[in-house]
Parts: sequence; C-alpha cells; structure tokens
Amino acid sequence: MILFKKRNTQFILSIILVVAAFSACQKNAEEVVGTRVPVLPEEVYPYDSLPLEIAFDPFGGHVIDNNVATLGRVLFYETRLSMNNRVSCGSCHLQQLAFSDRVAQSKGFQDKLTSRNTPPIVNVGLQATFFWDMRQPLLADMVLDPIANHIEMGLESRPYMLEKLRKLEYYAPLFEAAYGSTEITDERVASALEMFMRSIVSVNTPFDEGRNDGFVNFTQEQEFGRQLFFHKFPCSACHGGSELSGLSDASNVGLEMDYVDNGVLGTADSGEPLDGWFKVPSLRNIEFTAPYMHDGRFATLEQVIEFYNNGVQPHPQLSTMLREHTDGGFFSLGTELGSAAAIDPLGRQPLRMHMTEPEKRALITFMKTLSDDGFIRDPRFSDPFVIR
Amino acid sequence: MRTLLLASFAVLISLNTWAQSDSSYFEVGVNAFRLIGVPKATPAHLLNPYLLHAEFGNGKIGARFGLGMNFRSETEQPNATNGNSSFSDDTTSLDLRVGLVLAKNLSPRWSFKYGLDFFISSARRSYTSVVRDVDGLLVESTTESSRSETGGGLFVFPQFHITKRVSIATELNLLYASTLSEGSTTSSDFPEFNTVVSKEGSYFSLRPPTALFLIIRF
Repeated sequence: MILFKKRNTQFILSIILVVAAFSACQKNAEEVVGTRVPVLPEEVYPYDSLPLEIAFDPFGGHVIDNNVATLGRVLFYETRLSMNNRVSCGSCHLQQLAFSDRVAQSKGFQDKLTSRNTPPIVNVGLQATFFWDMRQPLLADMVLDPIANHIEMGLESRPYMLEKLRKLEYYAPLFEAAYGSTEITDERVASALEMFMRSIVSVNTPFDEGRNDGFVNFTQEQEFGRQLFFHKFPCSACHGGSELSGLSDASNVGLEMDYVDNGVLGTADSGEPLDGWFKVPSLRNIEFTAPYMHDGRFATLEQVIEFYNNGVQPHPQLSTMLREHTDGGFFSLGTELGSAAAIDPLGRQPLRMHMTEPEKRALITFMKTLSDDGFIRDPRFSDPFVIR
Repeated sequence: MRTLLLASFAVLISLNTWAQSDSSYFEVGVNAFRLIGVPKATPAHLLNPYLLHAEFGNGKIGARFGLGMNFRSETEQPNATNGNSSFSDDTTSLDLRVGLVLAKNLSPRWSFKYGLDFFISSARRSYTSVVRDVDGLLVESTTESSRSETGGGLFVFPQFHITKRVSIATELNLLYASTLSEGSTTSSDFPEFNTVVSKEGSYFSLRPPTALFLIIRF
C-alpha cells in the first residue's frame, strides 16, 4: 500500500515535471532571445563603383561617399526606426525582390496595410519625384516620410527618433566615419539614407550589356520582344529612356473607370482635377517586383500584358498613348513623346493591340532582360544585422 | 438631436395606425454574414456589426435587441524580419442596441418592420511588441486605440417568412452617433515620448443592407 502510494506520487510528480518543462520550453520559444546588431566588413564596400560601363550616370550627378552609404545601409535595415522596433525600410523593400514587396499591400509596424503597393528601389538618382503619386520631389525628404508615417513605421517624433539612435552604441563610430563627428541629427540620418538609396544601382542586365554591343547577346525571342516593345507597340512611349520609365511622368492607364485611389493630386491643363494618374515606374528588374501596378492588382507579367492588350478602360483622362491613333495605327516614340500626360481632347477609344500569343511571350522574354541577378544578391545592399 | 429622434418616433407611431394585428411572438436570429464573412472590399463602417438579434412583440409593436462582439488575438514569434520582436495584436469590440419595432404584415410571407434604435458600441485594439535592446534589457512598446459610440437611428427591416417559424430579414439603417476616439503610444525605454490623443466627433450614416438575419419564431 505504501509502495503503491509512493509510486503514484512519483508518477504524478513526473507528470508535473514534464508539463512544467514543456511549459518552460513554450515560454522560451516566445521570448526575445537576442538583440539585432549590425556586422559590417572591415573595409567599407565600394558603393561608388559600377559593374558595367554604361553611357549614363546612374547616380544622377551625385558623388557617392562610401562611409555615408554604409551608415545609410545600417539605417535602412534599422528596426529601431519604427515606433515599436518592429520594422525597417528593408522590411517592405526586400533586396531579393529588387527592393519591392511580394504582396499587394505591405504590413506596417502594427500590421496595418499600406494603401499602395511598395515600389521597388532602383537608380533613384535618375528619378525626379517619389511615391506613386509623385508628391515628394526631394529624395532627402522622402526617406524620412515612411519613418513618420502612421501606417508604415509610426515614429512621428523626430526627437524621439534621434534619441533612439543615440542610445544605440554602434552608431557613434558610423556617424564619426561618415561625417567626422558622432553627432546624430535628422539631417544626417536623411542624408545617409539618401546616399545609400542613391547607391542602389542596377545596370548590369542583358539589356544594358546589349546596348553596348548592338544586342548581339540577345536571343531571337528577346530581340523580337525588344522590337515589339520599342517599335510595334507603344510601350516605350511611356517606358522609354535608360530607366524604361520615360520622363518620370505620371499617366492614367485606364485601369478602371472610377478610381478608388485618385493618385496624383493636381489639375490637368484643361483645369479639371486629375483622376487615376500614377507615376510611370521603371521596368528595371520587373521580373522580381510582382505584384504590379499602384495597387498590386496584377500578380503576373502575363496579366499586365493582357491588360494593355485588351483591357484598358475608356477613362476620360486615359493617356493619349493608350488611345487609338486617328489613322488606325499606334503612337510611336518620338512623334508623340511628351504628351503621355495630356488629356486627349478627341476622347478617342482605348487602344486594342491585338497581340498574338508569340508576341506576348516575346514581350515578357524581353522584359526579363531587364533583370539584374547580381543586384539582388549584392552584399553591399544586404541586411547587415544579425541577432546576438 | 433629441428633438429629431422624438419627432421621428411620433411619425412612426402615426404610421402604425394601419398596422395589422397579430399574436404575440418572440424571435431570435443570427446574422449569417457575420458568420460566413463578407467581401473584403466592404468598408468596415458599412458592415452591420450585430451577430445576434432578438425581438418580441404583438404584431403591432414590439422591442428588439442586438448584440455584436468580436475578439481576436494574434501573437508572433521573434524573427529577423520582425526586428526580433515578439508581438501581440489584441482586438475586442462590443455592440449593443435596443429598439422599438413597429410592424406591418404585408402578406403571409412578408412583414415590413420599422422603428427606432438606440445603440452603444465600444472597440479597442492593442499592439505590443517586445524587443531586446543592446544593453540586454527588454523594451516593450505598445500602441492602443479605442473608439466608443453612442447614438440612435431609424431602421427598416423587411422580413420574408419561409415557413411559419423560419424567416430571413435584412435592414437599412439611418444612424446618428457621437464618437470618442482615443489613442496612445508608450515605450518602456523612452517614457518621455509617450503620447495620448483624444478626439470627439459625430456622424450621420446610411448603412446599407449588409446583414442577413436567419430568424426563428417561438
């Protein structure tokens, strides 16, 4: 009897111990085990160098300081720049996706969704305005906007932002190396983020290589797609130039008749309020930046091509480039460039391009020549933080 | 506002003079759209918040009650992409209403009910993240938001009787409410930057039929 009781007691105690150990494990799994600290190379990365000789300056005339860009890289991935230490710029601008996000709307610091699709970051030195609605002309100002945004990072108080950074001991030597003193100011934070973003350059693509040698590196289908893109269809009327983004202009592409998101604020030449105008994005690395459009409505390039082929809506402010030409043909680059932002006084019908399946495939094949595989793996732009 | 509601009530009483009499009844219903979900594109302020519906009356006049509630709690483990923070997101909301119902039986299948509601609602959302700082201490940051509403309004409630005991109904509401919204952000490492904001307001709203009540009569 005594033995039975003892065994029972041991059994019950064992169960309690197992349950307690399991509970402890569960609790440990939820605990924050370490802190994020940046690990940087002994010698700063050469942010001012280019992998390929090109005919344009992707830095937009700015001199890149490698120490400032290094500081900017750390700030770009610094989660303490969000109100609850949860997200950084790099949380939505993922390098492996050419600094875009894989979802239509990204999650901010409280898991609330952003109102628009995260735009990729590439060759910003060649861009005149920022955000889908082009509301910000200055990159140095733009870089602080998401930090203060109540959806994105929520750190609305600049003094709070600076105090948080001052508390982090690894910033003193970074600011010293970048600016000659350890002083942390919002101007320096903005300048470093701007420098890092300017250094995020992608020019090492089959397309860039082809421009140097007459596209002899292209396959037959890639070259067919290039001809379609630049000559048969009016793609390059908006997506022209070195960045395939035209003149950093905005356009209404007829996504819908009644836009939920009105886009660019302002008035057209005719005086009526703009409706459904959004910045024309660069097509560089477009293979990696799905989903597409300002609201991420298209999951694939095939859907985008099909929309332009046959789905453009007859919005009153639809770009002239996407309307039927009076002689039945297409607008061509050169003859109409610059009028992409004009409202068509004749109200012509949306263009129906009647693409064949081989043409659609060739266009997508060509667009994939704008992919820079080295760029999305370049350690200079990667997250330097590790958990210790 | 009070005058407006009293005037509306007087109009409803006068309209009821042609209402058809009926025997006493007690009905309970559940809002199927709250159970199965509604299209994500539906704006939150247009959604009918009531899950449960109860009503009793004598065929001419009655009273109704509504109850809606929502509890959600999510947690996230620490990882590199969330700043190595543990995170919890807790949402609670409660909606209560009581109303006066006037009824007209249009046919054996159709009833047309209308009346006046008074309602209160309260919603709260709290986000907390915990991250280990470089000095080894845990930093807890919390953002909270809450919203309470008190108001009233007119409703119309068409009801289709599938059988003697089972019916379906929807409703259209014209609402007025006064609101109080409060928000706060706190962080354990820099309490001097904690913020609290409070905002009072009011609104008129026409809520479309975004409810489908499945009702059983006793």
